[in-house]
Amino acid sequence: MKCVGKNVLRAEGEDKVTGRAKYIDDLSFPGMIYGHTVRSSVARGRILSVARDPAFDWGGFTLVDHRAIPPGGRNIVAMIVEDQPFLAVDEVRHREEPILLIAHADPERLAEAVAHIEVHYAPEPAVLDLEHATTVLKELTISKGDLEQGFAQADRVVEGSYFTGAQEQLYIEPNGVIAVPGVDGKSITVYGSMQCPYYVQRALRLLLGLDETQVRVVQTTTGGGFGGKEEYPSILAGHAALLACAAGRPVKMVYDRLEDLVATTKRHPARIRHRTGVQRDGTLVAMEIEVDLDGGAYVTLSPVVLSRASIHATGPYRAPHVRVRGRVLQTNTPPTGAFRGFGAPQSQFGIELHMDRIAEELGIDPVALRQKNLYASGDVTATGQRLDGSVSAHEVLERALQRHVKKKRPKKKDGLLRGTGVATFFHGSGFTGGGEVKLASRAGIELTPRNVRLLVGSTEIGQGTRTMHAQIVADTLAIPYEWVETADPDTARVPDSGPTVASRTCMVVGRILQRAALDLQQALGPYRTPDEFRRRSRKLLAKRPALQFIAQYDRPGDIRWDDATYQGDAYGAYAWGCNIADVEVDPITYQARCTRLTAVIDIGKAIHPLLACGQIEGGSLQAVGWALYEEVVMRDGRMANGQLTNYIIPTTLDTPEILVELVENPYPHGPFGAKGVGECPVDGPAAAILNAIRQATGVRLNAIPATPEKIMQAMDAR
Amino acid sequence: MKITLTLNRKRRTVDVSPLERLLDTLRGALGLTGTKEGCGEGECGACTVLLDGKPVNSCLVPTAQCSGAAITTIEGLAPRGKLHKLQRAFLECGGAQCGICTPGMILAASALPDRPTREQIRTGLAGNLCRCTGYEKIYDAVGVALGTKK
Amino acid sequence: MMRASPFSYFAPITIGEVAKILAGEGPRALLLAGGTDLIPNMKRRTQTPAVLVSLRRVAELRGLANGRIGSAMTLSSIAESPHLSPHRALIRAAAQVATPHIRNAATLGGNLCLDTRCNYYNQNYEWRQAIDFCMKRASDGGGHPVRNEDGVCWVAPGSPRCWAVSSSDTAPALIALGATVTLVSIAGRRELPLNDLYCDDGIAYLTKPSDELLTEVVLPDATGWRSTYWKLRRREAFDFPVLSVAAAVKLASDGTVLDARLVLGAVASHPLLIAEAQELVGMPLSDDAIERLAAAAARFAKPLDNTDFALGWRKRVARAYVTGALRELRGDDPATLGLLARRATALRPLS
Repeated sequence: MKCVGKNVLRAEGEDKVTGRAKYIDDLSFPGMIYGHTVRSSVARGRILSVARDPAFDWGGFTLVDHRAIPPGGRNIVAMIVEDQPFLAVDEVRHREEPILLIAHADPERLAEAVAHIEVHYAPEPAVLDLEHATTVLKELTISKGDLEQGFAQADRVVEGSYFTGAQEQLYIEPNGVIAVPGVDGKSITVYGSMQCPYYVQRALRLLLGLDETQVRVVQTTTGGGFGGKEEYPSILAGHAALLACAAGRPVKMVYDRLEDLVATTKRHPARIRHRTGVQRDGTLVAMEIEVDLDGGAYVTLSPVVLSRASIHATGPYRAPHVRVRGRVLQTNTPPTGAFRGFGAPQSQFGIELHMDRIAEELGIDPVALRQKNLYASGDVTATGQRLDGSVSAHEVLERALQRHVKKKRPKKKDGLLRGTGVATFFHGSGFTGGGEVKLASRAGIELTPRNVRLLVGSTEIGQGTRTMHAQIVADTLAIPYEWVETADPDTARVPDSGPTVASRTCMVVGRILQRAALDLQQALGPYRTPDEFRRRSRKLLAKRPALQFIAQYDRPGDIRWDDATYQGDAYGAYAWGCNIADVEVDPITYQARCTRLTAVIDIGKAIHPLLACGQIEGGSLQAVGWALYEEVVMRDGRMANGQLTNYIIPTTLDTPEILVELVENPYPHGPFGAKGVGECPVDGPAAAILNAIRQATGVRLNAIPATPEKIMQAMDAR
Repeated sequence: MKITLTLNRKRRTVDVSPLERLLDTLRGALGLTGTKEGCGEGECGACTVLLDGKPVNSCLVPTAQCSGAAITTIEGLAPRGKLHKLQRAFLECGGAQCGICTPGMILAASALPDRPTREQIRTGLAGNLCRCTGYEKIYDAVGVALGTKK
Repeated sequence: MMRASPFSYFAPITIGEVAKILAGEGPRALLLAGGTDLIPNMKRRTQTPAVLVSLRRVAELRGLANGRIGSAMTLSSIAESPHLSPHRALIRAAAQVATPHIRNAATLGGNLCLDTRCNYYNQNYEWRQAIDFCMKRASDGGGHPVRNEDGVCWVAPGSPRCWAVSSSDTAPALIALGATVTLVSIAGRRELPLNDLYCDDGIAYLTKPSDELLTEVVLPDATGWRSTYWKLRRREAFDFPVLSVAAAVKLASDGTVLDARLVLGAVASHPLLIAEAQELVGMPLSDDAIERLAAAAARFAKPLDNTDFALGWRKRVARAYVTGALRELRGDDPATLGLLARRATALRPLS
């Protein structure tokens, strides 16, 4: 009867395969009208005037600017720093910054009206890329040992700089919400495609000056997020809410693909610099690392992205002397934001290319160099965290080599250049440092006469949250999986379980649910069979009207973290991974193609192996796209390729064969030993592919995407 | 203008403006929201439906061009309350994650021949983007449903 | 939702009726076949016809026999047609347009008359407005682009002409195959070598007047001919060509070239017929001869920076592509022709 480790049917799967699942654009409310955003057409400047064409018939339109924010509310998007307005007041700091909102019952009239609004600006000089950026939004340093002493011990110092471009999450369902004003005029409900209903609730409360009973946020079936629906929906929900309050009617705002591409967040472009002291035998003795991220025009979540990027910048390698300096720099471009991996893919791209460079300079095999330096149990990280227990860096590499080699194919003689590259990586599960303690997430279980209902604010965005949580609770209670259902993520019904991000939903929230289940069990008293569970439940319920068991995050006793010094246990546990990529490069056209990608990842315990593999395959392909195809072309501060015709993601015909192997090295504080899985698969493939291109062509690229133009340039320069 | 077409084996008549997209007619007047819009430009395949048995992008087809045609959407693939073998396989093999591409993907797959090779599956689904799965589980599901894989 | 400018809609049944409507409405009218290009263009307001003439009910346009292909045949029916297998270049070109779904709706006539494309033109209205539009502009209420006298060509500022790129896959293939097209208007019907349908201008890219309907494509006898089509794009689906090579040679039994045609696609505002291909006649397809022609072709290929891919790269690959296509026609093992050869020549029929 146990279901953990088994591939039970996805909880909401039948609704999805039959088309019954309702996404935000599938919903409609009586009297609903449609909203649209008027955005900045300059990268930086002062707003001189916003003019409406007097000849146009404005009857039936609702228009809203920053002055519509009610007294008691604030024109600030609630995030880390209070710098970003919902609607520009007198200045704009980036292209596509929202200035004015407009709504009408007829979407076609709405589109017409937008052409009759003119905004005049006094443009100011703008900084448009990382290369020219000087304003630092956030800076941090991680130190271990004595860097000078480390370099003094080195036989050789190897330097390198590595660059990654912006990447669009490209969920297939664009961002969208519907805001429904309350009849009392003092409350609002927002439905939408999102990862974090409680983030949206907090943002709306600050914007409208309302309390938590007055703002209700409901997540609708969400067509992919990947971080792109972590913080952005707060802004969109605020816009729809302002229009709904002004119009007194429900307002739907669903972005079309162009608006979603040009206006919403992307993965931070990054510049990673390494200076590494290394001994003749390959032992790393000193690592000096600089991580610079392009944060765009506002701070948003960049400080935490930087934190994760910096902590992962050493890769899974031990070194006695380390200094990582991380910075987020400001540019006049739309703010960058959360994207699966949250900075770690960028910084580990840097170290994994750099490791191959070191291996080459020392004349050591790149695998051997990694084996020499990979973390093992007992090693201490740059933040001073002693790793013990679930450390699988060596094991994932060994198993990847075995798996990949086993499937080796005969060499072909067709003139193509072939290479194989490797990358090893790790990924901390859950919020960084003291984040989980601050979050103090809650989740629980409601016992009903019919079944057990999960009350959890974590969202299903395709990754399998509902299924996996139900499995954890079913096995903890020793009842059938089918007896467990999940309440819709609705801030009026479920507690704040923290955001659905950071590979925390299984390990952290799953654990909270497990503890709630144990509380329930305690209340029931001992039972031997599911039927007995049911009998006892009914008995228990007869005595009390409602039975909820809500548990809160409980820090595993041995975790310590100091935010001031950036020292301590950065994460409760790490997932460990290895990618091996086979690449073909055409020497005539310089096009590179990844033909096979092996991914071996230790996730502690696969609650649902099929879903876990699906996460790894999907994340891997996103990284293949990032490595080879996906390029955000910026022109004058705006994304110039805002269409799926020219911002291209891999199709079925561009996809490598992906071989996945799960390693289960349990983490004692995770449910059934589980660690995080969602983000880790994005950390390695890009570096493995570029290392393979190096082997195939002899040229070293230090930037992605590795387009044929870049490969040609590098091969010409030889 | 009035257009009569066969939708999921039933005759339906709708009043549409000449260039209304089939996607909007299906989701609007005909009330079937299982067909999704991902880009509105034929660049993602989320809106795939069968037009006289062949997959097309309903965001690029004017409803007026469908007079007398037979349209199949995800709602009409299997009799009510039953799952089509492709739907079942997508459910069992992990072919659907976020689900937004799933209806279009399943309809595109339904036009594949029996026992398709992996190459045929890849070619037949080349008009459908998926950002969640890496496509592997989708190939598995199609292979299982159409008899290539046990 | 989709914005549609006000227009009237006709659904005639015969070619004669179509011709009559076109004559009456003039350039305000536009033909609607598959709609796969027109609908996004109307959404972006790069095409804003006042009158649409649907070809769906015109059965005469859907024949395929004896080398005559009705212009309303879908690209997938062409790619899968056993009758057309001797005309390999066409099959390959049709099979590589966009995606299977688009090929199921898009027609041959639509692909031959496909509007030229440019990074500065295929954008939404607001984007084009922000750059004060360019030289190519949708005529208000007209189906066909017109010249914007105030606009500059952003690809080549100072240029007196528009450089938008011919992006049809089937046009280069059919020109290489020596196809002619039949055009019908109320004045009557005429046949025209396909190459003469095109004109080297990004705005007025077709030589036919707007009241003429392209009714069919006529292919000459393919006996003795070999042909191929190589398409270059970033991905293996969806993407328009950024370079294509259509080549056809007629070989004597001893391998001597009796006739040859070479056409480059997506490097100019029209398919580029390379006259130097005639220099192959009378000699075998030696490495030298192939290289000479490839070098000549690359000289004519002058891609500008207005599509995907950097132009230096496209120009370099043009030469390699011509070489590869001709080597394939010579009978070289495709496995020795490289990755792109494999991609370019890959034809994956569904059944």
